[in-house]
Amino acid sequence: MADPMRIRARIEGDQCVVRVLIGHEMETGQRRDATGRLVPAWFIQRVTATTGGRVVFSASWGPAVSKNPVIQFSYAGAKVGDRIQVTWVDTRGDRRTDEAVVSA
Amino acid sequence: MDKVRRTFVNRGARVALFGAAGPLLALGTCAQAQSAPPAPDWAQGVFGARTLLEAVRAMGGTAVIETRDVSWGNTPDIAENGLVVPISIATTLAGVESIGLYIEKNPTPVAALFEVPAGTRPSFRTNFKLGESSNIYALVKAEGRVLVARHEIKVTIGGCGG
Repeated sequence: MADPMRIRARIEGDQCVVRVLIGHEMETGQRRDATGRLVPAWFIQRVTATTGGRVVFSASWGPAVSKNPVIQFSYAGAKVGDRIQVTWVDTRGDRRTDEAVVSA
Repeated sequence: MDKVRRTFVNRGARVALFGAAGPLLALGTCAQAQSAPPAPDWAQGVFGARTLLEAVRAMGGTAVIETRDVSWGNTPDIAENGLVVPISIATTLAGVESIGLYIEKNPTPVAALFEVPAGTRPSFRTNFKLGESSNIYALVKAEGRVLVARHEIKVTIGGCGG
């Protein structure tokens, strides 16, 4: 099982600013190991965030996203105490969902 | 004797098929019911684009049309480490549906496609790998049109094995 994400969601002005740190190797499929063999591609392809059933972030990624990806985005209409869920799915079909509470 | 064996094998195969199909079907519906939309068909979609024009077309545009309404925030002009380059893209255009990032010199140039749900600001930041110094392009789909903005990043240490 992959490591939990670190999610911070804070209200700044009229926006809720969300910062996410994901633990993932994000192998491009271009890198060779010590013996010269290509390391197979293995990276996150989809990331979504929802709050109260509403999608507030939705992205598709290629192999160029860095190892241990960070994301920042913001959305309107959040209240302190709202719960936000972030889900990723990688090329192996592994997935992980974590939750955070919106703070002031 | 042979016939008996055939019947047995056939029956066995049918049972095995039936047995396997049950859980498979269940898995299928389960995966669909669970949150997040399925991963896009990757090579066929925008991520298969090998030129800027192909990427624009994959997003529904027809030609490379420039815009000045994109700001690159804290995106560097010079990156010391190509493995971790923070790229910020924001736009003041109205009616933004999605924003793509195209890194010209990367083996897979399309790096990300951010959809912009109603209420979410067309402003994103993520770290990317750059194999070498490259032009990068933001592809903004707004009100049915795809507009493109360019930024140049010089990399002093490569992001691919370097």
